[in-house]
Amino acid sequence: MANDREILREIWEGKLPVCFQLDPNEVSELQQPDPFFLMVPRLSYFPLVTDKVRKHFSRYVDPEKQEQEMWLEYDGQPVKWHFPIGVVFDLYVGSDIQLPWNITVHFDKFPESQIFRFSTKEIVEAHFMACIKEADFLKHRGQVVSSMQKKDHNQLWVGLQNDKFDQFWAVNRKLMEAPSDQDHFKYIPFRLYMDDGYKQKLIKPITEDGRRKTLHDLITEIFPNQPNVKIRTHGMVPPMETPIQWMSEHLSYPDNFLHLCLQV
Amino acid sequence: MPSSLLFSINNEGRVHTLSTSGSLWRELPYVGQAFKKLSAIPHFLWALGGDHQVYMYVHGLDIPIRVCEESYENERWIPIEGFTSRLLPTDRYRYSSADGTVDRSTDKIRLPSMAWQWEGDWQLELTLMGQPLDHNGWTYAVDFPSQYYPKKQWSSCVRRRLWVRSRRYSAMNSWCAIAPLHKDATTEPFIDISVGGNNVIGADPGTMLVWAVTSHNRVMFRTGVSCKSPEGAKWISVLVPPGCEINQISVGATGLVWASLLDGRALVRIGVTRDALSGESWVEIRGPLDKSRIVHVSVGTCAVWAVTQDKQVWFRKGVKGEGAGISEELAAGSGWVEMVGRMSMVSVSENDQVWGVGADDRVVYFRAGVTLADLTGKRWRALHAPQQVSRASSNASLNRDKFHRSCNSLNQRPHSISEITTGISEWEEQSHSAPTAPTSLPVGETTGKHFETQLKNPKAWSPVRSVGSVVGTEAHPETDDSIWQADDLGNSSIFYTEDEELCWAELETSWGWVEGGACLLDPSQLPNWFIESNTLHQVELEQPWRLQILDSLKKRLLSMELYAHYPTAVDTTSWMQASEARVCLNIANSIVFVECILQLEWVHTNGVVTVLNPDGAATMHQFSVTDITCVQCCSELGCPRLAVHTPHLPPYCIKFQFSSDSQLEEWQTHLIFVCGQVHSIAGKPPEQSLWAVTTLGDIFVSDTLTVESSQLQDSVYVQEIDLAGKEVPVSIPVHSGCVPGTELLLTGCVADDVDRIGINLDLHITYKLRHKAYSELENTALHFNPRFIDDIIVRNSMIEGKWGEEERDGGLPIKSGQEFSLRILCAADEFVIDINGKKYCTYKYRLSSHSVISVLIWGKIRPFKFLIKNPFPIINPCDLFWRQLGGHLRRIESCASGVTWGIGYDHTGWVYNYGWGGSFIGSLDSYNVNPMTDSRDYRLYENQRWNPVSGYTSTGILTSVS
Repeated sequence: MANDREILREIWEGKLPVCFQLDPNEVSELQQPDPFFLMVPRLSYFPLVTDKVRKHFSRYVDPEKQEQEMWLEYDGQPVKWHFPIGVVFDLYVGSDIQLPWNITVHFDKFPESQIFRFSTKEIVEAHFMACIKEADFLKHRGQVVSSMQKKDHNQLWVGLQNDKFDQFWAVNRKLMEAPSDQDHFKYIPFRLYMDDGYKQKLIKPITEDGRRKTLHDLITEIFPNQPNVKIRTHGMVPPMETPIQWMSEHLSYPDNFLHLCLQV
Repeated sequence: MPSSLLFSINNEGRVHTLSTSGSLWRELPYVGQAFKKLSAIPHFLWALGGDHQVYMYVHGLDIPIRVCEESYENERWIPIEGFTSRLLPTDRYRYSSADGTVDRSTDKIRLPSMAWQWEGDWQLELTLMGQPLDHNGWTYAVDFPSQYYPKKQWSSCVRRRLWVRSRRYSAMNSWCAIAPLHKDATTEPFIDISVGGNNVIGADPGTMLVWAVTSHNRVMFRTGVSCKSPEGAKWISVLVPPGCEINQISVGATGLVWASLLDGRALVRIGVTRDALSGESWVEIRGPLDKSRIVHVSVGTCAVWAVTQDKQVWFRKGVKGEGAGISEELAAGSGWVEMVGRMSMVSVSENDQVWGVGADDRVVYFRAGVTLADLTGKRWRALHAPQQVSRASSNASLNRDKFHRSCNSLNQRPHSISEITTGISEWEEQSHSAPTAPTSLPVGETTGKHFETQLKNPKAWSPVRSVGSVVGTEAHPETDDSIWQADDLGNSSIFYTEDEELCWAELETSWGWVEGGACLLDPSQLPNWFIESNTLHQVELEQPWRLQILDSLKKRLLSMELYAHYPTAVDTTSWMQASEARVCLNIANSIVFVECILQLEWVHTNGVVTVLNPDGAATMHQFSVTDITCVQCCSELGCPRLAVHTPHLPPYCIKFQFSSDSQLEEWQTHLIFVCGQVHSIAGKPPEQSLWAVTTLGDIFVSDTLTVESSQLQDSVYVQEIDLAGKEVPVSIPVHSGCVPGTELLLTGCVADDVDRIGINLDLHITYKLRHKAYSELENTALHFNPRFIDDIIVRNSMIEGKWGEEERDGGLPIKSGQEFSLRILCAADEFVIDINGKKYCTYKYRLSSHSVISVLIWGKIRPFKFLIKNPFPIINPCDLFWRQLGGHLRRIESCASGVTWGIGYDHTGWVYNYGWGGSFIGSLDSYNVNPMTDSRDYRLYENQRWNPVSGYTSTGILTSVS
């Protein structure tokens, strides 16, 4: 049960100051556009918050290219828009935090091989719901999400979109409950990001003798030979003795996954 | 698996049962006896009553228990007389058993107890091995032991015929008292009872073993207990080793008996086999730890569980019931294993499933995970099932909040309630055939084929305590089955008055005893009894890792402060809600609902409610959220409605009708949310609050603290009214009356050409009935009337339309064309009036100054300011904002210290726990919200009238009302 409201609220309120700037090469007007500042929620997705960004910059771009799909780039790497914003930040920026986060806006030369196209709200919603279902399969064999009505699914999405904590958690808490005959999930839904991809593994939240597993146990199971790795999530490094059942309940992103970035 | 039953006793001694195919605890009908302990095997329940006597309950058998008594009437042929009942001295009895050894005089064959009834009289058996006999039923033989034939042979010297009479156990589904050991039941009361042995290897099917312990430290074994004789025959004493004081006893399905001793050890009965059902000897077993004493032990088939004095649970390993009769080791086991859990008692069923009652929380627990391979199981699971309770039960009034009536439709009345009445009436019809005490059974007369037994006093009942007597009424098997059927829905149109009703409730009953002996649960298919309450993890607020995480998260926030000027991506501070609804704006005083679009727009700190016409083009009405003083549900049947009160803005009350309850709740939530934001209401209402309930039972609270604090100046409450620019006559409401200590100050300017001006302190109008019509009569406490022409100030009062005596002295200090100030001070018994700072006059009260409700200023005067200073807060009731709290009550009472009590419609008392939110506000802003149920009866009477043509119909003659 995710009943530590203080932690849940802190996680929910996480925000990042972003400074968007248009790629100077794409500016077709005489005047350089001003950078666009925005405070974005860590838990949301870029396509949901960048409408104003697009509106701001599109008129500085060659009219033919104005209708093209906008894409973002940080430090030479295209931003994977289907990751939550906080995950992108932890992954790309890591511990070398320099705020504001400077992101470059592009309209041209969409890097098809590196990121997906069609970052519309509907696609993001579909991806979000797919993650929730996958997480529920791991936690409850899918029973909770399939017993929910369409309006509950919708409420999760709307709650996330409009930054409404209570609306979101009214439904999400059902997904965060342990199944009726146990007090922990079946498996912990998580993604461990490293290099250019992520690892997923079936990890149970308790050991054979009933002890709750900690973050340290999880790392040991995935990297048996590397004990000293640092994990970053939500912009902080959680202690190794944190139980992963608790982490899954409280530190998951709205898509119900724990997104852990391996810090080198 | 067919359904079986779990039994338990609650803290009031009432026995309840839960079926594996059901989900509700049902109480066995209470017939005056409370029970302390019980022991069960399928269909047979043995219990220790509150009077320390043993009672038995047979239930759920489809086929009645019937025993056929036989008696052979023997006759011998002698010359001259023929067959006669005079037999040789060496012959068998005249009425005998089949082999002649037992005397079976029909007049001596009696019912074993009150619980049996004869089914008919003695009758002749008219067939012999399928062949019909003559109508006298005689069969013939050479001699008594020989073969009998239907036809008389020339060699037949004897004949016999078989009389049969069957008796039926008639105390099915009711409690039956078992004979005490002595005539006076209190001489040696029982302290424990146990039934088991329904699975003794090789024994006759239907064998049961009953063991008991008496207060004189004797262990008793009941002989002859079987399916055909459920009460058994008699008690025999079983010797125990010297020095052993038996405390409690338990019999398992294979007949294995364990007893716990007062000194904490246990005794095991060795040698229980089909030939020696009561075993042979005892073996002593030590308790698990030297210092903890066994207080309770329960035997299954291959499992024995015990509870020690410290509420610790232990499992005895090495017990194998099947071999226990022959092997001492298999009976006694080999060691104790400690189990997790604190229980006050445990009960093991035939298939070794274990039940227990929690030592601290008195909840029934089930040991999950018990299998053949792992007899100790995995963990205890709490059993929560709702319960059928009688209103009369004291538990019921403790737990009103969990009650809910199941009467959404007539069909859902629990079956058992209505049927008890029918059972009682049928029983009374049968009572004439009830057997009386055996001693009064008269000798039957042989008249032809039948015996007729004349019963003396057929309606007399022996007292409850006599042997075999049936406690309470016998429920008719067809009608009372419902107790044993799960969730049966039956048609019933019989209603009980409120006192007798049984209701369904999800009570947290305290259980004292659980008995799993009759419950054959398949552990892999658990019934839906286990509603796991959300076990809150021990809140790990103090764990270092959590604190560290919290700290890191908070640090993030600090680093954002530099960028606070960045606009947020998601704008959460402005939003709009709109939906279609119907509105009644009370135009021209007509209650008509028209279609509209209701729109609520919230911008940062304030909101606007707009009512648009259906195509959104024109605005019908608009007001700000600050104008709302109350949002109240005023639904009627089928019309979900919301009333929004804006007392200062006509129409003062706007009603909205929605298409569904959920839409109503949605809007209620929105409006309450914005009102709360605007009035900065959050959290618990202050102690000195006003509480109100609406006719629909909703609870509202209001307080005057903000108003008071804004009015308070130097310990008086000041209300300042700016009258500049107002046209006379001006009427100023005086909300708090003119209690002694009140000051009224008026500054203004008199016109040049003034004739007379007046300041009236008015009271309520009284209405008097005069000649069948009401007339309005005015009351004025003080009529202050400066007349400039006459140079006087007339002071007077009007009492019910009539003027009193004028007071005219003092002159006229006010000059026309000049400014003036007037001060009226309300002293203890008079008005003290100052003009321009100087005392002018006094005026004794003729009407109570407390009741002044308004001040009227008239005449050619330009008033500037009116000030009211009152020792009490000046509250305009229309200004109060009413905030809704979750709940449903009929009446509510509060006091100055904030303690608030209420009574619901179902007569339950409630006390306010200083929470807020609740009901539809839900998770948005709730605190300390607990569930509450209230029920209100709506009774619908269907009337019918009898008429000679069609009997009872609902269409009647014109004068009847249906």
